[in-house]
Amino acid sequence: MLFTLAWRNLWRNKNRTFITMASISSAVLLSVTLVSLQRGIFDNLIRNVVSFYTGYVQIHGKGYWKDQTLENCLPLTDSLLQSVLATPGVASVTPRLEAFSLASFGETTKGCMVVGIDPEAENRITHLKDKLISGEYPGKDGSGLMVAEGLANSMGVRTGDTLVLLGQSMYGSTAAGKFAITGILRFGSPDLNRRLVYLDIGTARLMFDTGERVTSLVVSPTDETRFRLLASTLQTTFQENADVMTWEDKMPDIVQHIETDTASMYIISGVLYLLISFGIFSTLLMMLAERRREFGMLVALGMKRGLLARLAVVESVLVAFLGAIAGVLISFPVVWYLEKNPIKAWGALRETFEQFGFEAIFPTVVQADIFISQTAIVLTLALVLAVYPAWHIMRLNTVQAIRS
Amino acid sequence: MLIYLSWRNIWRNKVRSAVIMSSIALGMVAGVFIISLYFGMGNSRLKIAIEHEVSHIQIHHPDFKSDYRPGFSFPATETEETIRKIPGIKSVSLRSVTSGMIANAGSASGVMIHGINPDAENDTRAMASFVKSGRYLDTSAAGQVLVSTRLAEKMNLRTGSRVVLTFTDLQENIVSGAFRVRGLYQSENAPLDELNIFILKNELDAQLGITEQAHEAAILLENDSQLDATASALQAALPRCKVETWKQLSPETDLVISSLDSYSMIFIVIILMALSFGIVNAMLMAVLERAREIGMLMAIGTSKLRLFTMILLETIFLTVAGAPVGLFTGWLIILWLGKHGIDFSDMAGETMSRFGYAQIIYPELPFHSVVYTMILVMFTALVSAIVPAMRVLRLKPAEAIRR
Repeated sequence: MLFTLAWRNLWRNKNRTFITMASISSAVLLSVTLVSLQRGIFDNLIRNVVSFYTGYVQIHGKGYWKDQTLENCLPLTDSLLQSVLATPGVASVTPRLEAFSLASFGETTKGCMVVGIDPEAENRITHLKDKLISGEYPGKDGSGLMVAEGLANSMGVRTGDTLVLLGQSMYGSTAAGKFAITGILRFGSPDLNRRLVYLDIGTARLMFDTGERVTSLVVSPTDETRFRLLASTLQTTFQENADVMTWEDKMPDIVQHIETDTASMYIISGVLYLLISFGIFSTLLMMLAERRREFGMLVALGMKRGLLARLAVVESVLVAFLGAIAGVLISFPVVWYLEKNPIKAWGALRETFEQFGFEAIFPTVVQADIFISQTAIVLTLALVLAVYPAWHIMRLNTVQAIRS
Repeated sequence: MLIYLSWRNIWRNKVRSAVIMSSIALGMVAGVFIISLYFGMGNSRLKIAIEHEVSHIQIHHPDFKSDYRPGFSFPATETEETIRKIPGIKSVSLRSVTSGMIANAGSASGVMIHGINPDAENDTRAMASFVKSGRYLDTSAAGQVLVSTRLAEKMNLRTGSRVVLTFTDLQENIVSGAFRVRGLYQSENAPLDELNIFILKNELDAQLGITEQAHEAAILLENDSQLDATASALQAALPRCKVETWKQLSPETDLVISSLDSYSMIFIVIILMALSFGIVNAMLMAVLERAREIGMLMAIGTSKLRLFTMILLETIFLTVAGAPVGLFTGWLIILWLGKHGIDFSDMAGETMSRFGYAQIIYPELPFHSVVYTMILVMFTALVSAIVPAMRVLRLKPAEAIRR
């Protein structure tokens, strides 16, 4: 009975109902957009930082991270590689052999980090090929060496020059090699740009005499948001002989930066909820002002105030749900569009971003939990506010209301 | 006439007008608050970068930063005198810097060794305030070194521990010296700390084989706004050196600050949209509720343009009344928060300081943004009024009167 009455009341004044619904829909739309933008901006930041070098998850030999010497490296057998690849959630894997060396050209000598890679697999994970600014990317049996731009500039070398690498092999003897530079790479991070040298992993293994060993396996997850789960699965599988680390373990500074910004985002969301509540409240206030006479009349005719109050609550709940559903339906295409066509950074920021090798965009993410949580929050706000009309009815002065 | 009519209309339904006015005021408060919050965050980061890390301006030999060779230096006293002649300089700290290695029995680590004059360094970087245990350097601290808590943890060092510093001198000979840890320091930027250790400048100079030379001059200015002018004045006065401002010295600070700016822009747009929806809704209700009255006005011959203008004028009045109230409230809130600060440590824990933020953010309201927010809010309010005003035009007098 109450429900039918409420339903009919809603459609008696369509304009008012639509406006109230619109205020709730727009609330859902804005809060969903805000939160998915906030999350999208961070995911983009992470994707950028992770694709600089580290990847989402890395597997090391036991104790390597604390003591980064070749002695602690990981014997890479085919069965190990196969079992990593067979782990659910693993998209691809690439091996790396990292070792500090000196690089010499003519009179200049610089310290550098030699990274032995499988060119093809590496490109799948860190898009190394995109970082090439001159020369060629090595093919399948690629020998030759790629140097980071900063290092190349400070040594004054170009593609075609020959670089001498001098380091220490796994057994402590001198590891040396002479390589022609086949490519120059540009890294966004000044730190990487200053010290990276890439070799084919086969060549690097020969030079450092590590046999089949590698220092790390970089694993890329199929679902980037679930890298933590993947890391813990891998850790339980290989706890005997390997340490599994996520980018969060390797770059705590970035995690901290993100957490800091998250704090400020909570505040922004809070401000938005406040504005939203006010918008919804103002429609309720106007509804009450318009229907004051009607309510007064009903009470005068003998309708129980409690029943009338319940009616008002049911109306509000109905409008809130209809509005929220409409809001989700509208916000989905908006968020989806902003994911596919993200907002681009403008002005000076664009340059600063590109200088760091970041993609200068602010994308959204389409994630079900955002829709659910934001709709739930808006609905809660609307339902709490719906108490007001009920309270108003309970203390309505009938005589004055009728005369108004 | 029309103005008078609109004005009277506003006061006819006080509840409705109050609601619209307060949502405009609230929008204003929200805008002011977000701008101030992000401005405060950026400022706090900038302040730390300038006052505790890179200073406003640094001067080097043009090749020094690419190679850190002891020979890439400039004459110390002469340069300092030249710098001090330029107006607006607050303090100058000359340093000798070289890259080297710190080692003890168990471990070794690559570091930048800074030779400092303790007093000048403290004036430019507040270095003494970072010392967490032990003591800061002073001129009697011969053979002593200041290392960061993070490095100490990694190498298992304590105050009084012995370490050996190794580096190459002017003639490319490898030299090393034994030092004792005098104190452990920790600045806001812990990752950077790990790389930097400090000894007395004259000791480092003697080991490097340089006299009356320095590698780095860090300059603090009286006023942030003189940055570019002072930098170019310095460059003109010191043509053989490279003058760099914090923007070049710490591009990541620039990145953080400019991305904060953009975030705040995007979020303000979203907040303004929320405001706009609120106003559209409220004004629409106001117009539709008055359909009969407006129909009547039409019937007696009021032109549609006049009605349109009337609704717009109503919104303008409400905005003009609401915006200053909001601005004032926002200003009061910011004033209070600017004094007491927002403690982010509850939300972000110690994470902020590790990235170089202070834990308590003091929002600050930049004046140009006030004007800017005010214009944005008023513009939003006006644009939002167009929808309801258009709705009026679609009313049919005959139907509207019969409602």
